[in-house]
Amino acid sequence: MTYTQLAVLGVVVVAVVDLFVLRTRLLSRKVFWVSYAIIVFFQLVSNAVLTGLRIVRYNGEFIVGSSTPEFGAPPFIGDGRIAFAPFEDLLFGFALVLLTLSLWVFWGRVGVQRLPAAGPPRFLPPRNRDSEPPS
Amino acid sequence: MGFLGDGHADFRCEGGLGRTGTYRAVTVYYVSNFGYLAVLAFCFIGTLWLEFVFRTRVYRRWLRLLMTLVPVVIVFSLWDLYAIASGHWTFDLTAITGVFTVGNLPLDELLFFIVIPCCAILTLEAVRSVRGWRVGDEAEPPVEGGVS
Repeated sequence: MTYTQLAVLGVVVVAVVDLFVLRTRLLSRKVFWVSYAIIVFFQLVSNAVLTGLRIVRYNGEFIVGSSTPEFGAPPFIGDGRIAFAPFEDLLFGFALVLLTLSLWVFWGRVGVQRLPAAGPPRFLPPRNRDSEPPS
Repeated sequence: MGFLGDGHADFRCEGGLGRTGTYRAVTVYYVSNFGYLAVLAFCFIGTLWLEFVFRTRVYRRWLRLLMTLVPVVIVFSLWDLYAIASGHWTFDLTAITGVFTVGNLPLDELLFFIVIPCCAILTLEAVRSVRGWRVGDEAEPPVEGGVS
């Protein structure tokens, strides 16, 4: 299979895991999409270093765009690439992040270290003193 | 270039400064071996502060973190191994550590599948810490009028 096919398959499989297997339904939650928006920005930055400096090189046979050139950086945008990286990396990253967060929430829901819960931030007062156990 | 382990890099210099010819640079090779690790360090340190400032309590809940990481590392390492075996991608051997784990998976890639999930969980918990949005692992609120 090509990287393109695997990446699409990966997203579909992990979405099924989130929605129907672990039933964490992160795809329907605002907290997930806001978190993902932050994550994908930093993914583009760090992956641009890995792909723009040709630390990781891709074979054009298996992606929509062409191979990472022998010398010099690949296109910053265009030819199937976004910020030097094949767009397939965004799907790979999405599957990685969604599977991770789905498992994390799943373990919390079944009672593995659900507490101590996150927050409140140091710069904000406690949201609700009655429901937050003292830390 | 393109060999591992002896700490030398050959490069050719033509015209300009110095004589034309092949030169041998010592230690340059090892310095650049940490290119991939530097990116991972940026990601790890760039999110570590969330644990303290936002009280994300992710690393403190290390068992839950471990139980999340193990399946993720296995699944994505298998994907990576398949991709490497099929030739989907290759690595600049002067920018990775040169340490290979099970099945010829570069150590750098294995660490990627540990560091990036930690960053993702820290981000989720930091957003929850600030906004208080439900994530799906909260205790069920007591049912009104029910036994609680």
